[in-house]
Amino acid sequence: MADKPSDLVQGTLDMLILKTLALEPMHGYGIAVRLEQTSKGVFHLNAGSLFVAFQRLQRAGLIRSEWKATQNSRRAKYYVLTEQGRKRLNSETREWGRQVAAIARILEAS
Amino acid sequence: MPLLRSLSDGLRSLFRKGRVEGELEEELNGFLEMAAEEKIKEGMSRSEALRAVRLERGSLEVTKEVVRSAGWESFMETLWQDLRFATRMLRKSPGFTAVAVLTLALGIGASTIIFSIFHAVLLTPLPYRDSSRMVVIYDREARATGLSKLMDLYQDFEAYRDESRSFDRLAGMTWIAGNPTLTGFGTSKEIHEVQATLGFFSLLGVPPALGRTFAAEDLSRGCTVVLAYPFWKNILGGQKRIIGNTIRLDDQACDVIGVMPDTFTFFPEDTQIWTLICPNNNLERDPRHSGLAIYAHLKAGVSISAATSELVLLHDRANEHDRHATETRPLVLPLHEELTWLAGPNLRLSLIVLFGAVSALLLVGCGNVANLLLTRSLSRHRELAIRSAIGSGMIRLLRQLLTEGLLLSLFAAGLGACLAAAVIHLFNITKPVELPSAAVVRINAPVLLFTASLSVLTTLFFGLVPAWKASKINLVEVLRANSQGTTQGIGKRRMARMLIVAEVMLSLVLLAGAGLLMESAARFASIPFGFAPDRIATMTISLPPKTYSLDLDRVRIYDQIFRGLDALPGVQTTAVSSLLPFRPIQGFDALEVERRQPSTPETAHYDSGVLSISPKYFSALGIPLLKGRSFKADDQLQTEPVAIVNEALAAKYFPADDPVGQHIRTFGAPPERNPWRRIVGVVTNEKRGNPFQEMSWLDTPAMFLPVSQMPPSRVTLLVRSNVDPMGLANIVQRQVSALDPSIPVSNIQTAEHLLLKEHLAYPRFRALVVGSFAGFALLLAVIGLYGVLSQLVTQRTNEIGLRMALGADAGSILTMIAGEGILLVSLGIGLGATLALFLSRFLAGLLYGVKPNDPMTLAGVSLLLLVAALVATLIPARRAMRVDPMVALRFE
Repeated sequence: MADKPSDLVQGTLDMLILKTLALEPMHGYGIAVRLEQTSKGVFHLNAGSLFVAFQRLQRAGLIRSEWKATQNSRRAKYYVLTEQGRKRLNSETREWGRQVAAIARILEAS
Repeated sequence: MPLLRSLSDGLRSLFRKGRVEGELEEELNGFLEMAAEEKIKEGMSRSEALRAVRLERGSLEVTKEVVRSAGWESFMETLWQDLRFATRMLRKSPGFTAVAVLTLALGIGASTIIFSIFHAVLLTPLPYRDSSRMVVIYDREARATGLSKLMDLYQDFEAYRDESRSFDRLAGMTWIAGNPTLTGFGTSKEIHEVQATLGFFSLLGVPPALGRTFAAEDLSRGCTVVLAYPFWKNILGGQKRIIGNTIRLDDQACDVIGVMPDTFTFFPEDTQIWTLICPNNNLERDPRHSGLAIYAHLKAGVSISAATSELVLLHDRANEHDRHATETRPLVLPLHEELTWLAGPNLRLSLIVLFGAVSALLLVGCGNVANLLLTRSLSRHRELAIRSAIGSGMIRLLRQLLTEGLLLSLFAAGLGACLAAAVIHLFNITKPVELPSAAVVRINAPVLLFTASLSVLTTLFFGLVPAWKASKINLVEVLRANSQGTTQGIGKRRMARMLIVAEVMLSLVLLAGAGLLMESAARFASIPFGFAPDRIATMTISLPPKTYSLDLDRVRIYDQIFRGLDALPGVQTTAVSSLLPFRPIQGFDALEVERRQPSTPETAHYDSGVLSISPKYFSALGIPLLKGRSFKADDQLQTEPVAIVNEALAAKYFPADDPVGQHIRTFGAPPERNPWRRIVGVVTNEKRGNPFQEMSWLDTPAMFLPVSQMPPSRVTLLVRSNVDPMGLANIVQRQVSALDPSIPVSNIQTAEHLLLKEHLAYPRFRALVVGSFAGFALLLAVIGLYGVLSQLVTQRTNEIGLRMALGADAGSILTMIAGEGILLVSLGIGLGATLALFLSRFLAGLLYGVKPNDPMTLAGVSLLLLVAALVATLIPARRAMRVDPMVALRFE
């Protein structure tokens, strides 16, 4: 069971963040909670890896950020998927599907 | 785009650090607060919740550090930190820094100098259009075993130009035909002329600075010239209206159509004008007997060998039923290679040798600095151990130490570049050797790039091993041990010894090379020439061909000129020759001997040269007469034709008989100018250069004729005097002008200058440069040895004191330390001698009178190195000997 993102397949965290942001702009903690909930607790993310990923994605131009108020009227940085990020998400999702299917075929074959 | 964003983001974090950090902190705080709120909702107290979040998600500070170090800017930040720290460390030990920087600056500076020449000559493309595909086409003698380059026949040029398909453009030119006399600009002057075919300038693709270059319509005009910039500027006065006007060359009006730019240069470098070869030119009139060099641009995709095979076919077809077809073969060479060769047959090899030598010097310097760093890391042990204890990993320490090294190298590279700039400036002013005229030696972008990469490379060479050794710290041991005598030192001492052996080895190789080159230069220069070349002035007198078309006229004017000269004050002897001293005798004539089988075109051997000289030529130059007599004043046009031959000719044509009294003549010349001549004397061979090989004299068979029987239209005057040659030349010019103002006196120099410039410059330059490199390397190696042994004595003071306290006498201590030094040096010398014996064979082409594996040279330089090393050994050894046991044992 993977409990640290470093155990995730390289680059998977980026894809998961993009996927989460595809629904709506979200702040860091929101993304973490969403990932944990949707994965039913399989992924538990520490702040370090999450924020490094944000910085990386932002520098790659896949997401951008803006400061907004939360529902609890706290100031938080919201991350928004860019057009480029949406394209990347689509292509990576397709590629992921292909790879998973291929791995599954190999595992079933033996 | 992402790259740009990453760059701007990174720069923002670097330069607006406070704001970026604040933002990150606020965001992270929010994150952790929100997580804590969840926990509080689940019923935890606030402090419990915060603790749980820290455990689960990571603490604020750690996360900040993680995020910060993920971007590239953190690398820069660390580098900056390291650089600041390194600067502080270097400033703290100015002595070490100065020695290290100077040592490296010497190596890097010398390397930069050599590389700038190497780059200018061998790596910079020629300044002509698409020059990498340009070639030169010569003939070579089919029978020749060595190098052979002959000019092409004009008829072959025509065949190649009209029929070959291998070339886009093809042009020919010759520098042999003309030294016309310019009149109308001050005194009459002899001009260096190149005759070129129509396509010459368009082949090179260099536009003129003024006017235009040759065009097809010029072929129908009488004489068309393009001027070289210095000639136009200095001799014609640099006026633009000269374009479209005429200048008078050999009494013929020539149209000036253009001036080439100042930067334009081609072979020969001293060309002053280019004239167009027109249909009435002697080349066109006699295409079977006149030669020129052909330059061409290879079509894309055509190889040199493919082009050569095509030319062989054309050459054979153009010379059907002619011995020229069987005796010569076309030879195609890359133009760049050929121009380098023309500047110096050994230039390429010389530059490669110099490059190797300077690399060895740089390595010796690196070895010394590495040793200094090793020594220093001993004293920095505690600092490094503490840094390691508070969390610096090995990589981090390594990086920091290498940064220090890099800083040293960068300083050294800066200093080295300044040093190089100064020396190159001097090199360009003094021009110690001839380089291809297109090669401009200067510090440009590629050279600076080379210097910069050297600084990185040297850092790795001298810094990596010490840094690695230093960063591998056994914490417990270091912090527990006292600052002296540790086992840590042993590994470093072994390393230091190996470095010393390597330095001694490289120094010996350099010394051996320098020894061989110096010996060659000295032997080559000390060859007896039979005369003191420094007191002989040479100058050329050329007679305008129209006024002096008859032998009789030429004999008369020469007679008048020479008679006047002998009367001048300070003049001891004057002599005349049709060829300058030391210049090679071209063996282009075939000889016939009377009462032997007459030669036919098939049997003739074109192996001899014919020179016209005055009676006093041999005595003036101290060339011994072996047999018979010299020429006399009464050998005249109307008396019996006579000749003197040199030993080489006698050996070749008269191996069994006495040549004196025999009759010879050249083969194939018109009979009225080519009577049978009686040999009246035999002289020894002169020292005359070999055009194909540096540092060698060529003994071409030569037949000497009296100027009074075979007066050429151009002669070299040799004047032995005790006055300044330039002043003398002015007097000669005045005298000659008084007789006939249209006769120019030119090419004034001393025989010594000729010898220096054309024969001794390269050998001396190589000996000087490699010699100084070897000297520096020796110095560095000896200093390195001294340093290591001193360090050894300091480290072992304790032990030495103990030994002495236990009864060891001073002699045995001396032996212990000196023995160590001598062992290292002997090992280095042994390895170096082996390497030198292997490498010296590559020097063979640059040596004269000494074999590459000369045992005396090797023994001599080994002894030199040994003695120098002994001095360096004895100083620390004596210090060890004087150790006071009481002080030493208290020295803890």
